[in-house]
Amino acid sequence: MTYIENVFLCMASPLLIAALCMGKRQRKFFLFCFAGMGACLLSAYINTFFAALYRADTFAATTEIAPVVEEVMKLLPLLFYLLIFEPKAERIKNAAVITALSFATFENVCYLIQNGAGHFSFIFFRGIGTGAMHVICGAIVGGGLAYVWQRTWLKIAGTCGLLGAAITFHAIYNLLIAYGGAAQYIAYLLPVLILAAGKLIFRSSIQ
Amino acid sequence: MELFSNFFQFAVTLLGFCLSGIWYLKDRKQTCFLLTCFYGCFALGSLYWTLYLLLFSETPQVFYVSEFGWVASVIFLYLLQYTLSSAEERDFSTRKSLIAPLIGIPLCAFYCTFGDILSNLLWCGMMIVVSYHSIRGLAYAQIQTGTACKMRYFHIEVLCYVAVEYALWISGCLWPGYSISAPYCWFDLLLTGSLFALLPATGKAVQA
Repeated sequence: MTYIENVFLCMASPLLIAALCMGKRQRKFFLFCFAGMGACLLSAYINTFFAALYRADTFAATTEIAPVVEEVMKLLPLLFYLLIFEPKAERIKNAAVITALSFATFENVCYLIQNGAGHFSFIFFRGIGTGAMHVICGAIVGGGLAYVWQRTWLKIAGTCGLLGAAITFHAIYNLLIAYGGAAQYIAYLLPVLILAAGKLIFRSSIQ
Repeated sequence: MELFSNFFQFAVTLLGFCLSGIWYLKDRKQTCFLLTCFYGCFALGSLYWTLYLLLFSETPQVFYVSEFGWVASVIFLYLLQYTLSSAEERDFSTRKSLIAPLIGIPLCAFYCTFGDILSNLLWCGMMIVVSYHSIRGLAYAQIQTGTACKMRYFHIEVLCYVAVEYALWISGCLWPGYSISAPYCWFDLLLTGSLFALLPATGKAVQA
């Protein structure tokens, strides 16, 4: 059994102290870190609840329930930020990526506690793969929200569409991981390749 | 056969995603971006479904995650329709557009007797909205002259997509199974064709 809330407290307390020591401008970064890790913590509880409700086994919970719950939970702090603070487009992207990254970090820490950190190469690939996947999902939602929230008529429909895209991408990743074997390594590589391709396209289009 | 059909659908939508993505990178038009999103979401949904079938030889057990991708694609299609229409077109009213709910509501009741009510309500609701706007747009395009009437190709194509989706669901209810002789299989292939045809149809609409 993993005492996930204890892990959360241990990870959040140094960040909280740092947030208090740093200036006001850096505080937002820490707030989104807390939001991402908090979303991960709550996702774990909600996943367990839905798995029990649908009488789903571990495989069904990983491939069908977890992507929906996790992406919705990651979106909630962003929606709060958008509705209350009405930030600029660039800040929305940053907020989405920080939330996604801290979510991935917390998830990785919990994974290490549960499964041990003995196999360096596997842990290395998993760390990079999961991080890249969450960043892509964050970029889809963040980049998309920055675009759709500039247009009133696009807001609701656009947000639902982006959430759907992020959920499906996340579910494909989890599906390949759950299958294991070579598919698992394809899953770890896929987000990294997409991220690299996206960066290249973005750079060449700017030039 | 189901695996082949789904893989073919994924390949076609991925091609649509790449072509519309290149088009967006060249022209930087909002319509191209929305078309790219439409194809991208549909391709993601198809990829999940195809992988599930390929790896586990069964369909998802709890609920269909692919539907999130497919629902997202219809949302982007609606946004594309909205972006392509002018303010005058949106204010235009015609009784012909009532055909959309007149066909959609009885069909929705029919589908609900066979499957999940919430999912059918969502899908039929979206199809009614999309077809309503298409019929209105088509009626509006018919009274236009010059390049403006090119919009009708886009609206006809969207109506074809909606009609094939309805036919696909009807065939799934009445003749379940996915053999080569099953109508569901042929409607699925037809759907793939109608999805790809959206690309040239949107191209004509952008020129209008």
